[in-house]
Amino acid sequence: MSTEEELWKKLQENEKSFKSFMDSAVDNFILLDSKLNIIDINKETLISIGLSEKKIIGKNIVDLYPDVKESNRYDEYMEVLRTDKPLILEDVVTHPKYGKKHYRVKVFKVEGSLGTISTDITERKLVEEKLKQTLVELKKSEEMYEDLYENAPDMYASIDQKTAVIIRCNKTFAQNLGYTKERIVGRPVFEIYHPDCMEDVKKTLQSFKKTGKVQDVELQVKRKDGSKIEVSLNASAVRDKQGNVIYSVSALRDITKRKRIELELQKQYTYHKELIKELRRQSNVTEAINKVLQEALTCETLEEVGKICLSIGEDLTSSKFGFIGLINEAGLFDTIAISDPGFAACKLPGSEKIELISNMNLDGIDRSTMREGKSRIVNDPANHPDSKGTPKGHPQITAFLGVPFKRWGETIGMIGMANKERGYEAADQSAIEAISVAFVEVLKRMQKEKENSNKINLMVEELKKHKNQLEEMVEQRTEELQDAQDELEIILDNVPGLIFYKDTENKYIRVNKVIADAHNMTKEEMVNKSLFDLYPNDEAQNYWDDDLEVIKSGKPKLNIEEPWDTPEGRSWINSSKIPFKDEKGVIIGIVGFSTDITERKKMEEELKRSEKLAILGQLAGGVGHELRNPLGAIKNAAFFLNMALEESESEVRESLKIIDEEVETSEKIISSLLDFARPKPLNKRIVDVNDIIQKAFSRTSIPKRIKVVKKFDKKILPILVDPDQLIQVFINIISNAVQAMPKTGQMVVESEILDKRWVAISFTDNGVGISKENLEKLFEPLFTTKTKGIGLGLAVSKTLVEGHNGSIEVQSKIGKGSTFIIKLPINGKGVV
Amino acid sequence: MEKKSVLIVDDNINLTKTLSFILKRKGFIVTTAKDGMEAIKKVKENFYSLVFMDIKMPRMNGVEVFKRIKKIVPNIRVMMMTAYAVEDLVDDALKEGAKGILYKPLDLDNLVTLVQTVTA
Repeated sequence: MSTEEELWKKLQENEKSFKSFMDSAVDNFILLDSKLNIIDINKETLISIGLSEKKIIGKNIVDLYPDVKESNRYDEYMEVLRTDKPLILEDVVTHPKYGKKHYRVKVFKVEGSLGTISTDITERKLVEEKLKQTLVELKKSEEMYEDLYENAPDMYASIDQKTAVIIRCNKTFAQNLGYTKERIVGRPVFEIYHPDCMEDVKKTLQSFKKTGKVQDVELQVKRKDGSKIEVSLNASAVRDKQGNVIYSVSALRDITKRKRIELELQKQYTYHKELIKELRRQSNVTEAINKVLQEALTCETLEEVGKICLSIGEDLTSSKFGFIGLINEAGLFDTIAISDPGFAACKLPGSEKIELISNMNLDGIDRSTMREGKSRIVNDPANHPDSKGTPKGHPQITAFLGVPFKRWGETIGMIGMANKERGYEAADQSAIEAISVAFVEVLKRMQKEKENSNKINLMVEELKKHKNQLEEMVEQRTEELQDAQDELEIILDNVPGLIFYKDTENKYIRVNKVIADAHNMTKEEMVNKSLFDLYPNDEAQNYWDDDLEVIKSGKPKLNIEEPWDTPEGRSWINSSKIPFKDEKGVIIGIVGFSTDITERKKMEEELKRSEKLAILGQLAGGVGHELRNPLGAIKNAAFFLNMALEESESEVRESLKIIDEEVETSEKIISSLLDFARPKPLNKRIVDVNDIIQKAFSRTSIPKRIKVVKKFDKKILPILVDPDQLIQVFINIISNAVQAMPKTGQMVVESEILDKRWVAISFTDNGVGISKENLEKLFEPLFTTKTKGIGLGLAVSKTLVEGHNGSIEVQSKIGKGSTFIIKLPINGKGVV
Repeated sequence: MEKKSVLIVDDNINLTKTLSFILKRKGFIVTTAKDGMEAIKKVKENFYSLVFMDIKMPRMNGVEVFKRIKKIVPNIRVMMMTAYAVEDLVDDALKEGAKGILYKPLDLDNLVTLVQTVTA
């Protein structure tokens, strides 16, 4: 088949299918004849017109579309028929059913007919309208974008990737930096950043190169005036089609305010965090204090309390160990407690025992705290001025917290904490200070309790003591009673006096040794005896009369002086007798006490004699001297008369001689009176006593009937005496001896040394002797047994010998003779 | 031989008189004075080879009189007399230069010899 045929065939096929195509076409298809009458119309058009095919076919187009003529369309269609020049036009048809519809109409000539194909372009038209509208809006939006870009609150800038130069920026960017846009653009981007963040800027840039974006990097830009703006940088890359980065777009948001708020927030946050921490800490501290106070209640010792404080303190401050102690009275530090880890740490090598060191000086980093009186934190102990180093074996101190505690304003001790890992802070200090307060409270409490318990203990002790004392007293009393009994016995026996207790029936119940001895009896022997068993009747009666008087009257009889004869001779006693009554006051006996007053009596007599002598002496002296004047005149007168009457009568002469003699006698009496009254002052010389005796004899005329025997001790050395006075003494004694021997007799004169201290000279005669009574008065002045003599010789002798610190004694027996013994001290002093 | 003048001073008139009787008999010119004032007056008037002076006299004692008359006649010879034990005055008199002490009653035999020796 030829191509024409084929084409034809095709055409035919096409024509056939054309109809179906037309019918199936969505476009309106109308075929018109040369008069523009409708030849054919497709179904779609029919649907769109709403008329059936029969009503349409044959109708003129004008009938179908009345406005065709008016709108020149008729002419235009005719023109296409005439020229065969297809026409494309657009029409708007108001469809009764679908409303206004836009069509694109193609008008063409087909074998003398005119075909119109109307394509519904209503949709397209709408899109076009919309597009048009969109473009307007787009334009508007672009303007808005521009405005937004320029006036955005954030700073925008585009930076060239290769040169890092700002190629574009918004107004905000420029303004914020304090420049105009023109000044900014073209500048390297680095210039806008603050030097402080340059490192970050570089880092950001590097990161951007890798990732192509920057997200929320905080940096600072520098304003023209040098001030700083905190910014948050976001950037993204703009790439070409090959994916190479051409430039970057950066948005910088001013976050200064935000930063400030952030900072404020941070601060607030920190503050709150601190607050919470502080509250927690305080609650911990409070808890710790409560714990200290509470646990302390069960503590017996201060050390336990100390340990609790330390363990709590260590927990609170994260310390490794600690110590606590008090200042003692000496002002030195005594450790109360060391925490167990502290013990292990502080235990010096070699010491097995755990010792709390005492009496430490207030020095070193630790104990200097007390000297300073305030808490200290030393987190660099090695370089602290108070550092003393640590003893050998002591762990290194890396940090130290010392808290002194006070009472009544005075530092009394301290708590030390050591080796918190990162050093101590104020919070640690206040925690330990709180604990220290708690400790002081406990200390006070314990001291108070101790005081109270001490008081109670003291009272108990006191009571015990009292009880013991009472018991002891009872025991002692019992013993004492026995002892007293014994003691009394001893005392009574040793009292220098006679003591007795007698019943009312004159029976001795109890006596002391002295009275028993006096009766040559034992005490036991004397008991139950009566006065009448011991003394001669009359004497016993005298004593018993006294006793009865006391018993009857009930009144004591005191200081009775009475003679008391013992086997050794007569003594004198002073007795007191006291009635002894029972509890009811009934007299059941008599207590007697006597002391030997013999010596006293002697002394008294001696005193009496001395007094007598003194008075006598005064009298004698006065009279003696006064008599000398008249005596002198008498003597002168007698002498003169004797001279004048040379040839007188013998009786006259005799009388004158008598006057003379009597004057001489008077003179002698006066002399001896005066010697006795006022002994002449001693005129002592060292002389041989034997010589003095010889001289005395040479001045005395010894009758031939008397034989003198001299027994001198030739060894006697010369002694210091007044020889004249001694001669006078010896003359007196020799004269007396001579007068005591009226008939023949013998006088023995002896001198000797006694005890190397005395020279004793004795004159012994075998004359008449001296009675006992006279012996007592022998040395009294004016006592004499002689018819001639005034009784001053021996009295004067005694005075003179005593003036030499010597003594004179006499022993005599009637009918046998007498011995006078004169003792003189060799050294010139002393008495027998 | 020229008679020597002797002055006796004593408040005991009888003693003065009897002593003057004796000394006159023994060849002396005797003047008496009853107290110190009179004695001083007499010494001023006459020269005496020897003065007997009682130590114990009223108003002015013998030692005091001795001191006064020594001022009149420095070399005057004085014998003191006393009836009393007045050791202090005796010591003073001896210190003042008295020729001796005579105790009353006087030992007249010795006295006459003594006066003759002293005044010779």
